[in-house]
Amino acid sequence: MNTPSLRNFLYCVAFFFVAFAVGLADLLLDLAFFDSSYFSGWALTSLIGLLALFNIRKRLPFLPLGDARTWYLIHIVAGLLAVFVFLMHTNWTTPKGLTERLLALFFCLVALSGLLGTWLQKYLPLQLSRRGEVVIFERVPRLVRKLRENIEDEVQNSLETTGSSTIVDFYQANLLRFVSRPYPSWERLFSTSKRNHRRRANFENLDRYLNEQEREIMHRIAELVSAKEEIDYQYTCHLVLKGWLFIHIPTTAALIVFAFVHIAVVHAYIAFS
Amino acid sequence: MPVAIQRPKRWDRPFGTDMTDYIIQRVLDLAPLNQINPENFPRSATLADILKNDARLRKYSRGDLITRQGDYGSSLYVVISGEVAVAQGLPETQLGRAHYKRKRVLDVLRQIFRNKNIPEVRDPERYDSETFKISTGEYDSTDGSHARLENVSGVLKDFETFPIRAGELVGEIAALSRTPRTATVFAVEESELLEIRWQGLRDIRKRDVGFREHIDTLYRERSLATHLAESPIFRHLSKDSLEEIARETVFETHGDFDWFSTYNIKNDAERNNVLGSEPIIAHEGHYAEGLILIRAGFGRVSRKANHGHETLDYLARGATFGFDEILHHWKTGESLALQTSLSAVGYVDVLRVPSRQIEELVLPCFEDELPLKEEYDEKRHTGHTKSEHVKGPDTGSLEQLVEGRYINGAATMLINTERCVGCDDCVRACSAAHDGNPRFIRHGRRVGAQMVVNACMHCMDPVCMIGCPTGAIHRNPAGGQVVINDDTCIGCQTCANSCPYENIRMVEVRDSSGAFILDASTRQPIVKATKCDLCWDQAVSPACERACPHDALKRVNMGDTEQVEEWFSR
Repeated sequence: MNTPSLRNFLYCVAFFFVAFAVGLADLLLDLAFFDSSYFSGWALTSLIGLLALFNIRKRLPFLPLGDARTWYLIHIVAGLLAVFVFLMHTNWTTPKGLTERLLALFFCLVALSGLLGTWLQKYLPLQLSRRGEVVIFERVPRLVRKLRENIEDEVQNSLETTGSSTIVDFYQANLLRFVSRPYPSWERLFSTSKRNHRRRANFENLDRYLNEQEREIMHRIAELVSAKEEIDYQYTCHLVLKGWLFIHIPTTAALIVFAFVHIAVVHAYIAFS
Repeated sequence: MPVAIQRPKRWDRPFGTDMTDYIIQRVLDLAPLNQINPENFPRSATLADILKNDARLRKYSRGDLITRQGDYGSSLYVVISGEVAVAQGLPETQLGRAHYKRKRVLDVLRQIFRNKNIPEVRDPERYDSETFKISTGEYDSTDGSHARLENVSGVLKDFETFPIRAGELVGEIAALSRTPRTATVFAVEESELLEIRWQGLRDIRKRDVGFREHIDTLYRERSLATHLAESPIFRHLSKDSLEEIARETVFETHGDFDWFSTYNIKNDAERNNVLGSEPIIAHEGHYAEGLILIRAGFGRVSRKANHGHETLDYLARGATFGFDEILHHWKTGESLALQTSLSAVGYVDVLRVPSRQIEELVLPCFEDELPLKEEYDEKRHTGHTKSEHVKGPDTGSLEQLVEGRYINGAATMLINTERCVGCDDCVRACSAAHDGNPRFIRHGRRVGAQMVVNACMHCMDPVCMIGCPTGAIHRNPAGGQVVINDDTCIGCQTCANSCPYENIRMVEVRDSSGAFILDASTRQPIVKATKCDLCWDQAVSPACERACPHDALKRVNMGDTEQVEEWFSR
C-alpha cells in the first residue's frame, strides 16, 4: 500500500472509530438517564469549530500549524463526523421551531455544498488536465480579447480580399456576441453543449455560399471559434471550482451565528426554567 | 516624492576592506599570481582592481577552518603564507557547523502585520548603509572569528590529510563546478590566505590563459582523486589499488560548460532534435571500454528506436554507466556490447575507469553483493528483475524532463494538474512569506500530467550564479538554496538572462509610500532580481508545498530517482 492510500485508510479508520465512540457515549448517557443532547450538541459545536479553523489555517501559511493537506483531510473526516453527530443530536428527526429549522437548513446547506465541492475538486481538475493545456483563470479575459482580435482580423481580411460581406454579416449575426467576452457554458460541464452544435451547424450552412478563398478564411475562423469554446469550457470549470465556496463559506458563517443563538437559547431556557 | 539613490554598481561594495595597494602588490609578487600577465586585463578592470574588489586577505590560526566539506562556496583560496591541510570525512561534531537559523514563532506573527499591500517595498537607506554584510556563500568570518578544529594533532594523526603550502591553491573544485565543498580545509599553523570570490576568479580565468590552464589542471587532478575516493564502488579498495585506478582513469569533459547561453534560443524544431546535438560519451553497440562515473552535470541514457533514440534514464553526479556490461564479461567471459548510449546533457564531467581495472580490482571485492548469474541474465533480457516494478515518468515525460533540462532542479516545483483546483493557495502562501510578493508564477510547461512551474528550481548546477558581478546570487550556506542578497544586487539582469528556465524576475523597487526608488542620475527606477528562496528563513518551509490542501504541489529533487518516481506514479 503506498503512502497516500495508507494515509486515506487511516483517516477512514479514525472516522469510524470516533463515530463509534461518540455513538456509544451517546447511548450510554441515554441508558444512564442523562440528557445526551448536551453531549452531542457540544460535540457538534466542537466539530464545527474545528472545521472553521481550516479557513483560518489557510490564512496563516507561515505558522507551524501542520500542512494544509493534513488539515484538508481532517476537515473532510470531521465534516462527515459532524453529519453523523448532527443526526444523533436531532434524534434522526426534523427539528421543531423556526431557529432550529433554520439552523438545520444551514447545516444541510454547508454539508451538501461541502460534499459537492469535495467531489467537484476531484472531478473537474481531472477533466481539465485531460484536455491538454490548462488555461489560467485570470488570463481568460486577455485570451478572449486576443481571439476576438484574431477573428476580426480574418473577417476584415475577407472583406478586403473577396469584396463580399457574407462573412462579415455572418460574424455580426452569429459570432460577435459569443467572442465579445468569456461565456460560461454550464451544459458542457457534464454533456455536449447545444449552443456549440448550433454554431457549428451555422458554419456548415454558410459553407455552401462561399468560394474557395472565403472557405479558407472561414476554416481559420472556425478554428479560432473552437479555441474560444475550449476557453469557455475551462472558464466554466474554474468558475465552478471557485464558485461552490461562495455557498459553503457564507452558509458556514450563518450556521455559526445560528448555532450560537441556539446555544444561548437552550442555556437561557435551562437557567429560567 | 520618489526617493533617488545612486544606481548600484559592481564594485560599490568590495569583497574585503583590507586590500590596500601594498597588500595587492605583495600578493602579486607571489606565485602563482606573479605568473599572471597584467597586460591581458583592460583598463576598466585591471588585475589590481579585481584583487582590490573581488578578493580579501584572511588570517587563520592553527585549527581554524577555511572550508568545510559539504558547505557551499564559490571562492578560490591562494595560500600566501603558512600551511593548511585538506581532509575528507571529518566527523560532523568537529566541524562546528552553524545551525539553520529560521524565524521563530514571534517573528512569524510579527510578519503578519508587517506585510505590505504595495509590491516590492524596500528601505532605500539600506542600499546606502556602510554596515551591510557581504554574503560570500560561506560562513562569514569577516570579523576575524572562525569555526575551529579543537584537536588538530589528532586530526592530522587519525585522518589522511593533504598539505597545501604557500603559493598553492585550494577550493577550485567547488568554485568551478558549483558543487558543495568536497573537503575540509584547515590551518595547520598561522596562515594567510587570499580569498578570491567567483566573480574575480571568473575574470582572471577569462583574461589569462596560463592561470586558467593551471586551475583547470588542478581541478582535473584533484577532482579525479576526490571523486574516486568518494565513490561507493571503490569503498573496499586499498590505498594502493585506488592509486592504481587513479593512474589509469581518464578525466573527460563533454558538452559545453556554458550550455545555458544557447539553451534558450533553441526553437521547437531544434528541441525535437536535441539528442542529435548532444555529444555522445558512449555508443550503444560499442565495446564497454570502461566504467563511466558521472563527476558533474548530467548524462542521458538512451537506446535506438527506429530512426530516433528513446530516452530511458538520466544520470546525475555519482551515477555509473556500463557496469552491467563489464559485470557480464567478468561473470561469463563473453563480451557484451553496450546496451544503451550515454550522451551529455548540457555539459558533463566523467571519469572513465578501464574495464580491466574494474574486473581485476573492484569486482572481486563485491562478489557476495553482486546479483547471481540467473538474476543478472533475467535483468539483461527483460530490462528489470521480477521484483522491480516500472514506475515513474513514462518515456515521453522523461524525454521532456531531460530535453527541458528540468533534471537540473534540486527543488523543482511540480504541480499535478489532475489534482490542482487552481485555488492559488500556494501563490498566496508564497506571497505571505515574502512581504506580499509572490516569488513564482503558477504557470509552466506541461510534462504529462505534471506542470513544471516557473519557480526557481535551486539547480544542482546553478548557472545563474556564473555571471553575477557582485556575488549577490549565491548558495545559502545553511541549506544550499540559491538565494539573492538584495543589498548587493545591482539589477544588471545577468542572472535573469542566464537562467535557462526564466525563473528569475527583475522588479522595480519602491519605498514604503509606494513611489519607485529612482537612479539619481538617470531618474529611471532601480531594479532588483527576485526569485523563490525556498522560504529558507521561515519557521516552516516551503510555504507553497505546505499550503496545498490537495496534495497537488511538491518541490521535487530531480536527482532523487525515488522521489521523482513516487511523485509521477501517484
